[in-house]
Amino acid sequence: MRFFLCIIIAASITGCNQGEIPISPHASGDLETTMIEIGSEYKNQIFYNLESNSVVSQNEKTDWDLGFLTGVDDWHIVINSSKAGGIWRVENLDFEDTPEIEDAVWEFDSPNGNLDSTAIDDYRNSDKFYVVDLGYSSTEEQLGYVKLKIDSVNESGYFIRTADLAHEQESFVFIEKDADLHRVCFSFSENFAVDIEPLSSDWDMLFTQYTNLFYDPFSAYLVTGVLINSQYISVAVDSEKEFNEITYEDIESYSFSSNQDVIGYDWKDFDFDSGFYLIYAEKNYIIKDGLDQYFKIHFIDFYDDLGEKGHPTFEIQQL
Amino acid sequence: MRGLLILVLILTSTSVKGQLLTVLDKNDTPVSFVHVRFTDIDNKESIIISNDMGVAKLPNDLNKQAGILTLISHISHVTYLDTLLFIEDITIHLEPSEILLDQVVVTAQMTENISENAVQKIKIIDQKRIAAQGAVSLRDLLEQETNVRLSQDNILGSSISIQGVSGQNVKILMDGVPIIGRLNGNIDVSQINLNNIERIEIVEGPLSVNYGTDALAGTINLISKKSGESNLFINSYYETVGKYNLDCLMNYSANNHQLSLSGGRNYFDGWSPSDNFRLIPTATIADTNRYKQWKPKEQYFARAQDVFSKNEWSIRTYADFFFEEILNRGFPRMPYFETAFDDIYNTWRKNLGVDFNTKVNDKNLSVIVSYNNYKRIKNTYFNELTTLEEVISENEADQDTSVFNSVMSRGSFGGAFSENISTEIGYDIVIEEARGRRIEGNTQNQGDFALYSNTEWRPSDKLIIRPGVRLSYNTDYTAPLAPSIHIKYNYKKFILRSSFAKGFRAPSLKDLYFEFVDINHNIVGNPNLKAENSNNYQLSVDWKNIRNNYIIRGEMSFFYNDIHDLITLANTADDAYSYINIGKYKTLGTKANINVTYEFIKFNAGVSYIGRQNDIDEVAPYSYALEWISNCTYEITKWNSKVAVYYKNTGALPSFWMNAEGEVLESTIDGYQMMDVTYSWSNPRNPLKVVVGCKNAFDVKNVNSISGLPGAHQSDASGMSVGYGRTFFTSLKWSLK
Repeated sequence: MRFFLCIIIAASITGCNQGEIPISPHASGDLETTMIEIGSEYKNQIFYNLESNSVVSQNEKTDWDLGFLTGVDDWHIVINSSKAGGIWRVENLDFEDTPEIEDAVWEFDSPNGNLDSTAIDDYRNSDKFYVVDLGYSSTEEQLGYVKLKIDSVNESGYFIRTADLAHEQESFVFIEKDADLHRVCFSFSENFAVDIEPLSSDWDMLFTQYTNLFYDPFSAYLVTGVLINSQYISVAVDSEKEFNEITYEDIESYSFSSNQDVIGYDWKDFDFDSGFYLIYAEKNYIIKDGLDQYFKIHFIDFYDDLGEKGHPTFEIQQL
Repeated sequence: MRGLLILVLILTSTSVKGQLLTVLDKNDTPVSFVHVRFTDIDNKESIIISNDMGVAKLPNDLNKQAGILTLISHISHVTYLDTLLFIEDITIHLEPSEILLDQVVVTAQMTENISENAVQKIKIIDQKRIAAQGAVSLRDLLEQETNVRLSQDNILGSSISIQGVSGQNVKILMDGVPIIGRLNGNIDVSQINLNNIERIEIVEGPLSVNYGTDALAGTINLISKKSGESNLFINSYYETVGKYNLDCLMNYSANNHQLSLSGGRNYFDGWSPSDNFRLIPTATIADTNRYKQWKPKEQYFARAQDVFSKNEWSIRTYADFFFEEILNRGFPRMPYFETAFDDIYNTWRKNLGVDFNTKVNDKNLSVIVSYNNYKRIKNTYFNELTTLEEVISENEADQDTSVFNSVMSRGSFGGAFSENISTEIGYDIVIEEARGRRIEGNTQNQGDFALYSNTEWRPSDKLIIRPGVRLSYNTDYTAPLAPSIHIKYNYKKFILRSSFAKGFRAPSLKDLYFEFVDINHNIVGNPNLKAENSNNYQLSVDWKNIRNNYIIRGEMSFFYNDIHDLITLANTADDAYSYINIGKYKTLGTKANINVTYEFIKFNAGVSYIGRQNDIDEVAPYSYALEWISNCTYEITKWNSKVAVYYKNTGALPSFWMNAEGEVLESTIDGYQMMDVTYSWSNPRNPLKVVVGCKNAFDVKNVNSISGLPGAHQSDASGMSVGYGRTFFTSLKWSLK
């Protein structure tokens, strides 16, 4: 009977977790792999150059609020949509009045960068002013509201007035158009133009959070991805060919787009079952830069090697 | 001549003496058709069937000079085994077995009662069935019960529904103490081990008077073993899917104390449809096969209990501990499959308590005090598969700890106060604390204080009327008054039971204090929630016919549940969501069962038909599901064996839902069949008992769930986990007395 007892005990304790055997790493060949650190709280905005495969400049997303376009005849103003704030166009009040926030109707910029559908519409020849929702910081604190009125705009710059909602303080600011930059960035907390964007010809892609608009039902949702420098860059998307098979000869068959969000955020998707992002490595982006050079990239990860999100990683090769 | 005749008579009479075995029952009535097996000292065996006078004659070829091992068995009596010396004729009295006597029940009874006399309809699953089915956890048993449906989530565990109402409305008790630690309202029934369980009592319909919240759909009470002897059992269990279990139980009895210690370990190495069979787990390469559909699980459990009884009173002190680790190895990530996110879920349960019982003037007084703790930690690791280096993930949302602490006390005093009135009055206090990430303030407390009373009035010896009521005060919500009334009427061989009861489910701490507000989400709990309310109506008829070599029992029952104020997640303002009491849910159904015991064959067949209606406007129709079970056991006494077959056919479950356009659409979960076939061997002289068998003979793995539910956050469920294919198991039990 002891014999049976031993069998019983032996049979039952053989069940144990035996661990795993590691796999061998893949051969990466001559592809370069680059990781951009937006940070797990999506704090940073990072300007990147394809040719040098390097970060040209970076800033925190809360460092600026509005971007003033620098074209000689241009009057457009865009929002820093990484903070998820919108614009309320106020027409029947005076700038000195205090508007009720509950009445606000929020407008957002179109994520594809189309200047015909900006939240700040044509204010020239009008008395309207804007309430700007400064959005959220990367620690999800609400930053508040301010009022903005553009008194006039000409080929040298913008004359604006800013004030808090209760109009206890008012400032006059002149924002000079700098032709080397795509936009001049302005911060309400500094009440000054701030140094954010590098020279327009120096950067190709901006890694940042931005507000994407969904319709039916309408919602403004904060996503993380890539906005291109639409002045100089255009991109084609190829989800059929393997990344390694795309060659210079394929370029003629592609149609390129200059939409700001052509690369966007959907090279990844959040999977609710596992709680992690899945990467669509089959989405290949063929990029034509300002000097007519061609590159191909595809994303291979969104996490760094500590498992922190906010670290888009991609492979890049010049064609 | 006469002298010679007398001598011959004397000689023949001495050889005739000591040859007859007479078997009587406890009323001195002869028991006929009894199987008697004689084994003499030379191991020669002979089987005789007694005649209608209850007499079995000992065969002449057996050696009567030493004791003869005699085994007497009969369907409605307890098997008798002893060594007898046949010098004289012997008469044996048999004890009636539970089939004749009906089984003892304690759930919601004023004193220990038998199930035939209980006003509620109580189903008992006894130790024999637990052993014959090779059941390891409560989930294995409920897989073969009618009116109970299992739903498997490979991380959250197995949840159940009774009478079509979900598991958050089912109260699970261990010796009368509620089991805490609900995930999304459900208790994972695969965490409830049966190694220490004597029997399970299942009551359908609300027992809210006695047990308060969450007992709306039904109550499952697990009764632990309380042995009066000293012995040691070691059990092992192996199943081909990769289950390796070992547990032991030791009882020691002395000086009015019955001490019991038990402990064990269950290990499951996980399963995926692409798995190959391995006898012993080995190290595996970290490729895409590392992701398992059924996750590897390791459980440890231990229990210590002491029952001190003297005269009329007894004190039971217990402490038990449970630990489970679920390893969820993530699928290697695209594009190069070199990294993965792994989760580990650790659950701890600790329960301590004292249960005091005594009789005062023939009335029962019992008080129980218990402390229960539940902790569950989730940790996520980022695993580099080329080096197997693991780093704990930095994302705050990946780590999660939930803790529930609860102290409860229930006491009752009651018994017969006059010839036909029995009353009990009791109190029930629960104080609990919950801690977790998504709870407002991270910690919440709740106190529930209740008084209840039941009265049984017997205007005649055929009729019992039992009204009951519960009044409670809760610090978080207004607890409703819960009345109930049960009527039981005996008519010839029929027992009719009818009841109306109100049940309720308290808003959970999540419903009250949930907090998930960030840039993209706004979901908060609602501290002003009321409890969910239900009205339950039941009617059942039982019939029993006992003959000498067969017993037939039949039952038929109807139920109707009407639940309102169901707590549902709804849109409260533009982007904000919260929980409000607007849902309605109805279920109705019928169940019929027939049970036949003929000699050594027991056969049971049952069918149940349940309709569910889940909809605020009561526009969607009822969706009906059919299920039927059948099981059969055959005892082969000659070989000390028993063969058993358990079969359950769970029908397709349709459900109706409304899309955004107000159209009513249908989705269906396919039906499936579960069959277990087992062979048990148990020789009373051998300390070893063996059960081997096949589980899930129809090789069921996943069932299709055609849902097509839309929405940003719904994944299209292509298959629901139900089983892991056909497996074979062996269960060995070794005992030392």
